[in-house]
Amino acid sequence: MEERANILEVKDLSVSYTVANVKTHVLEKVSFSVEKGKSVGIVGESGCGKTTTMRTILNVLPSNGTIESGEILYNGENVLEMPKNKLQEYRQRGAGMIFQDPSSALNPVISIRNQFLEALKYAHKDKKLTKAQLLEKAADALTAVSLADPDRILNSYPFQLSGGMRQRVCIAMTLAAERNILLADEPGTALDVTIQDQILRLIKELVDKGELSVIMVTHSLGVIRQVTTKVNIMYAGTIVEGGDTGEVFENPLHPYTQALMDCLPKLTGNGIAKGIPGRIPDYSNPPKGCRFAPRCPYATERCANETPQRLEKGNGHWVACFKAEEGK
Amino acid sequence: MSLLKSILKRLLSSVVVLLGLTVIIFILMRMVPGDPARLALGANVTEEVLENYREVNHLNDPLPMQYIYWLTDALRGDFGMSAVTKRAVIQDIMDFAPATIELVIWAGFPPILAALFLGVTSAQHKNKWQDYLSRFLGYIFVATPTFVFAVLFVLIFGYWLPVMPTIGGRLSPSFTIPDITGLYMVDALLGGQPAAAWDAFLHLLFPALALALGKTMQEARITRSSMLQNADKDYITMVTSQGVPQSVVNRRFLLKPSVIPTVTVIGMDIAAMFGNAFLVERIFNWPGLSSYGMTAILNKDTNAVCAVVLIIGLAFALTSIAVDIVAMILDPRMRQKRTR
Repeated sequence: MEERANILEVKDLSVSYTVANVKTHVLEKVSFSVEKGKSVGIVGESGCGKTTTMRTILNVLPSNGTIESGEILYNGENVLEMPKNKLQEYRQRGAGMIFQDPSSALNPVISIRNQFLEALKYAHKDKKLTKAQLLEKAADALTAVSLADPDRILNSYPFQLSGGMRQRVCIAMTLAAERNILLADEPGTALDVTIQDQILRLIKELVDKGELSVIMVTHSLGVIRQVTTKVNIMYAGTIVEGGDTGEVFENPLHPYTQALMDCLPKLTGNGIAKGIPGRIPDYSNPPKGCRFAPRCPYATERCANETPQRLEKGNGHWVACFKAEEGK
Repeated sequence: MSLLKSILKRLLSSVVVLLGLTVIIFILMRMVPGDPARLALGANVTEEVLENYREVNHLNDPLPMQYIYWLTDALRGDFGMSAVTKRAVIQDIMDFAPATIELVIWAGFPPILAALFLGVTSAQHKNKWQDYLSRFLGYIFVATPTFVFAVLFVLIFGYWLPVMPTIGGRLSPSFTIPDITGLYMVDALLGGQPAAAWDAFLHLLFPALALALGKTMQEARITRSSMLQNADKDYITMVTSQGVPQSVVNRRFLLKPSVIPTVTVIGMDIAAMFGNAFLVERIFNWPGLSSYGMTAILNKDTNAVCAVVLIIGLAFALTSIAVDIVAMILDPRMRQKRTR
């Protein structure tokens, strides 16, 4: 078998939801790839389709979601067309996700211990581990995410834990499964900065050891900078710019990326950072051309009618914006 | 320990509820027009005899005193005489209650399995023929009153396809079975008479079915909708995304949180059967408590009405405690709440 550089490739993915008989076109031709043993970031504001992308990668869209087109290749195989048992195997060993909302991701009427056991039983199916060994893995993972008393946690039910503890339980559960790809959907929302930092370090360590490939989804540019080597900037269900994290941060080309950078509060400056006027468009009737055009200070008539294509700017840095065509 | 404590607490609070119930029912029965003494003794007695009856039964005392006399007697199991059967009310209840209990056990418990099976199947095959069929039957059965089923069963299984004993009652007269629990099927089996047990079962089957059908379909619908509602929850998506096989997800992660609302409804349904069984009991000539209570109300048999209402209230209280216990076993959040 040929050696693939990319463990996961998302190609031209379009996804829609049907809400109250209205179709909303959330993802529009999303493409990006994850190199084996590397971490990739997806940044964008709330509601831009980050979570939908993650769910589609595992093929677990809610029942009102439809995959309109595109493919997701895991080691060259399309996840969206895998037979049931293949898909199950991929979910057990291939890719796993840290869910964003810790209050709803754990089953309210089953003990943490049993939730761990059930998840790990399938993830480590091939190794024929005993129950005690699985629990040991669980306890180790809980300790790794700074939960001091793993036994107490395992004996608890979700409602007996705080939001931050629940989130760490979810993270531990996903990490203990030791899959090839980690999809981290806002892994720090309910955590305080020191613990968030520890967890990011932990993930980075696993990536650096070459054990893990990561897709880090967040609205926090700081997290992206800290953890990822490549980044994709997402706006309203489209990826508008991508490249090496350092390069994109140094030299943002898309007006949306530039605006995001300007939103960062600076420690040295005074006052509140600049925001981006307007809001994410209505997905049931998205702009015909560039989806950012209605909010873009540089928008022309062309932007409103034509969809800009990807434009290579060297070193793998690309942008989908007509403005970048000028000044070459 | 915490479970025991909360059961005790619930028992205590139901005692209070039952006491309140006795007050209300007692006042109501005394407020209805008509002379209890005259009703009990009939039209052809002298004023002297009536006055004597009133004196003996404390009917001349103020209402609160009458209540206290009635309550102290009732606590000793003495509900007075029935004006209709001319026997001690407690005797009547001992005779009639087991029939209704037997009927409610059969109409209440085995159908739970059917309800869960239908609800789960329906949810798992959402918008396929299994789902449509069970929903279609569900609408019909929920909308049909129990007595319609009862009459239809008598017509179909008693007349067209004579499999059902048409005389009704609980047992064919040719059998004699020992009186141990008052539940005829159990007694027949304990007495080593399988033929009698089968006969009792045939007598029981159709009334129980008539009583259960609507409720069962209602329970199935609740199970279905709560399964579907939970199926899109993050915690189900999470285990699915972990590669747990769908059948395990359904059985271990989805069913448990989804049956909790059904349990509550089942409890209320079973409790309500004690009172609502009278139509079915009448049609199948089932000598039950519910039917006895209805006769008592129509004849203004005060003592009997009070006793029956109290018994049915007790049944309600006990079932709701049972439901709470089951819910607490299923849902750890309830356990926590109760102990606090």
